[in-house]
Amino acid sequence: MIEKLTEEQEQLLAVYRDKWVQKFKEMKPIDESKAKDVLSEVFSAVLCRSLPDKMYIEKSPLAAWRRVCELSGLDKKSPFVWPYLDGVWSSGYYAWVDYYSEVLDRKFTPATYSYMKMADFDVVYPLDDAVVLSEPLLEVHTISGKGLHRDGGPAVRYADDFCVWALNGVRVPQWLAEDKRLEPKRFAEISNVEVRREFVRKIGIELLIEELHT
Amino acid sequence: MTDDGVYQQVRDQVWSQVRAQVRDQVDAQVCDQVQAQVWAQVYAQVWHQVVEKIKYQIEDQAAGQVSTSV
Repeated sequence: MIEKLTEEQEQLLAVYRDKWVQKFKEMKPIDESKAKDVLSEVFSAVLCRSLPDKMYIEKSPLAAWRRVCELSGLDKKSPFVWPYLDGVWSSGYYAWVDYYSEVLDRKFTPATYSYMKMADFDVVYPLDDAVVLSEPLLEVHTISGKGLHRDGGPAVRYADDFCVWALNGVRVPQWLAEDKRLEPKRFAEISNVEVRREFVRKIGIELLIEELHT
Repeated sequence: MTDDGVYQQVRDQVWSQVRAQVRDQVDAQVCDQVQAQVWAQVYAQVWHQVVEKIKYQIEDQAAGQVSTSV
């Protein structure tokens, strides 16, 4: 029974945290052959069935979802479902197991380590007759302590140009992130309080008040 | 997608086993420390700060709303 962490083990908490927080920023494009090997292992160990023959590799999670709708006969406007095999996005769990395994020398079941190989993927939809994957994101921009942020372009971009725009961790419309010269009157288009705050932060409160009074 | 619930149970079972094993071998205070300083922080920085934004953007576009709406 481990009753207290040593000083060195305590210092490693932050190392493992940072290692797994960085993971989604360092993803590589899918190698179909390797993906089949890894997913075969995951399907067998975790889902207790074999990997379907058909594999669809889409360029973004949105494209993957659209493929799922097509294959499952769902309406294109069906409410989006985030898959439970969400690859690298479950990094919190992998970090946890990794720390216990590597630093505290705890051993887990083979299925656990098979599951951790999902960290090399973005979302994965395991359908009955096919598996649908998304390529990882191409670009991601963050700001310390706040999350997604990019003034002048998308904060997240996938290969098919599915993008997320965000300022200081707040998801914003494309025009607010990308327009160099904002028109003050566009303030009225925004209903979300956090997005309004980012608009004001970007345009400057003095200019906004001046323009709205003229 | 019909077996979604079953597979989710299987996935959850993997993590439940991990938790159970850890609690058998590691003092509760250490478990809490690792959970707070590793799991919770990675979860917050990856899930809350990134995944949720991606998810909401997909929800907007999948539902056919203007892609830039928030």
